[in-house]
Amino acid sequence: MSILVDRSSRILIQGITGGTGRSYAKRMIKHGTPLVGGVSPGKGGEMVEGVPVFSTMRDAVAATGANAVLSAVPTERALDAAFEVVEAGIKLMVLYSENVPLHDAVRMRAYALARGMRLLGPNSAGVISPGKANLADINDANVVAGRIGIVSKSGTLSYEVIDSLQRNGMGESSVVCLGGDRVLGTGYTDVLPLFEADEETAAIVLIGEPGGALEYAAAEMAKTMKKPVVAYITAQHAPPEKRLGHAGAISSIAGAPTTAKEKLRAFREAGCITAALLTDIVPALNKAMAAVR
Amino acid sequence: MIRLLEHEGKSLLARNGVRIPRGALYPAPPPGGGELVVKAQVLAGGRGKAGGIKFADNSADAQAAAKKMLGSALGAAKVAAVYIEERLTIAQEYYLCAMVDRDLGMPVILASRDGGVEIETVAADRILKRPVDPLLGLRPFMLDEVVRFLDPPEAARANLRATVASLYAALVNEDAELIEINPLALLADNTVAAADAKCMLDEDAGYRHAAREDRFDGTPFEIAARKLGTIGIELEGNIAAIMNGAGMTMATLDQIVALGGRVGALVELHGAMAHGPERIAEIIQLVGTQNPSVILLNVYFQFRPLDTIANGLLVARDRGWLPAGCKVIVRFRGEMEQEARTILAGFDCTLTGVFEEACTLAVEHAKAAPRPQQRAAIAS
Repeated sequence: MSILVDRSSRILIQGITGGTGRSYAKRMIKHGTPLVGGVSPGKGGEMVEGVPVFSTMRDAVAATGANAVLSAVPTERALDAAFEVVEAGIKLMVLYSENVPLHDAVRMRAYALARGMRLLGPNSAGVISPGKANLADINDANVVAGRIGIVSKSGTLSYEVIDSLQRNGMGESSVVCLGGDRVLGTGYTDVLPLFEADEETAAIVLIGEPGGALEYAAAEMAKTMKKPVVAYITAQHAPPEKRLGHAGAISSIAGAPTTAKEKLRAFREAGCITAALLTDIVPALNKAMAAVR
Repeated sequence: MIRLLEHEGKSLLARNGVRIPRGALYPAPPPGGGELVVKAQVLAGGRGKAGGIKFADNSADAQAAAKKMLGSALGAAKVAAVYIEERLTIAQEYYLCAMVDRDLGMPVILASRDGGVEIETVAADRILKRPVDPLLGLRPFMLDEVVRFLDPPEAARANLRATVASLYAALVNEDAELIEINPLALLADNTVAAADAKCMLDEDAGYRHAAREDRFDGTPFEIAARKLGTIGIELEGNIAAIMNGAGMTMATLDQIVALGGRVGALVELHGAMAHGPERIAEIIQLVGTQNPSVILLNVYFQFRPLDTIANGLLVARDRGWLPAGCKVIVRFRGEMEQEARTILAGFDCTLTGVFEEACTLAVEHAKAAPRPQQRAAIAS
């Protein structure tokens, strides 16, 4: 098992004839990700890395039975691209585009929810089930299959956690990146139940940030879960009200506190083992796993 | 996020159909025919208490007050503009706001009869929060709910309803994150007018609004960082840290602080990598103006090639942009790692592949370094 993507996924790349799209196609084919085609308006009939290119998402789905899309389109096209994917009946979409306008994120999220499509992003580093399918900007060579589930807003922190787990002999069932923007298609509480139900996943590492309330909802949910959730919230020492790279990673002084410290406290109070530093995650995970056994 | 001054916010509201008081930006002649309000145009809240709002009986007095106010200090801010508008006779002050609620993932209308005070001080049950599904837009039943909650005099209902509709239209049409009217003034003739305006616009949507200029908040260092396509934060300390990815940036700051080090300049590369080694060199030049004892480059790329960074370091060195005596620590992991390490073979730095080791080395060097010198001024 694993979650969201596996060997039975049928994957399309939206924007497959662009530079980013071609790089992804090449990597997917090389590492055995089940890529079945791509979409690029007006390029129907071409081939990229041995898979067919279609001009519309509808054509691509009809011809290939695809159910998942990695989207690598320019930011200005992201809203329309997402609408086209949802409308074609796809069930999972990774939207890699950064700097998507806030109201576009709001609209694509609403349509995805209404039509039952899981949207990761905008500004998501994707999802990977190591050795099975890779819709992430994570290189297959840097990941090994294992029993830890990772759910994170940040791509780069996922890389770091994967690395430190690997140095300690651990691998991942799936790694899910939600994205760094303020409004996201998928939150932690959409992913945690999938890990809870996944036979391959023994424990979960949740990587959070300041700003917003998604982590609080996750802490509430962790109380009811059987599997241990190790929570790491970055930016413990961040200055308030400064944007920290991610558009969403800004903690407001006014209103309910959304600082990293407050969020970590919420997870502690929910009974989770927490990590304040990246380098604390492996010890925390070992402690959590020992408690289960 | 782009924050607008009051007069800018008001003209945005006016072009979307919200009534605003007659006014003019000093030194343009103020509206005639009655009492006036002179208002300092600053982004900070609490303007009235700080002396940024004055009343005047006539045009001459208003202009005298504006002249005195212009250029003065208001709290931490300097008054760069003064707006003079007609003084309203207000029957009732409402609070009205349209914003994108990030946790609901959709717009909301916030409304209260307790306008004119900070909304944080108003009891939750006195504020209506009406979500607006973006697939529906602001429907009549939603408008009815807002107007009923505000409970205006019968003769003012239609005006208030139109104002709420215009405010929501402004939020969407202008790609705003938040537009707050506090207070929304009910006048004797049963019209309503925006007595104040707070607007935050989404900078990511700037490409849809041709007339909109880039405007960056922050210190001169932070603004210069944004102009290079990065996100920089100025803090106090003698370590300059450059990372890829927001998460990595935050985690590096945490790690350094936990080890007892202090970061003076924090830079997330963001979109800068697409501009090649030249841009990387310019970023190093910028952090060099902070006179750091240590420059740490902590990068892990799964997709973009590390040789861009390595070549950028060489460009910075060749142009004399590395501060004298500054220790360079490079953490390379990911794509083209071997090639990038080879490029740095003759470059004076310490190389590592591990996050923790890079942070530890940076802190050790920073602690051993003499006290940082004066920071250089950054040309704007």
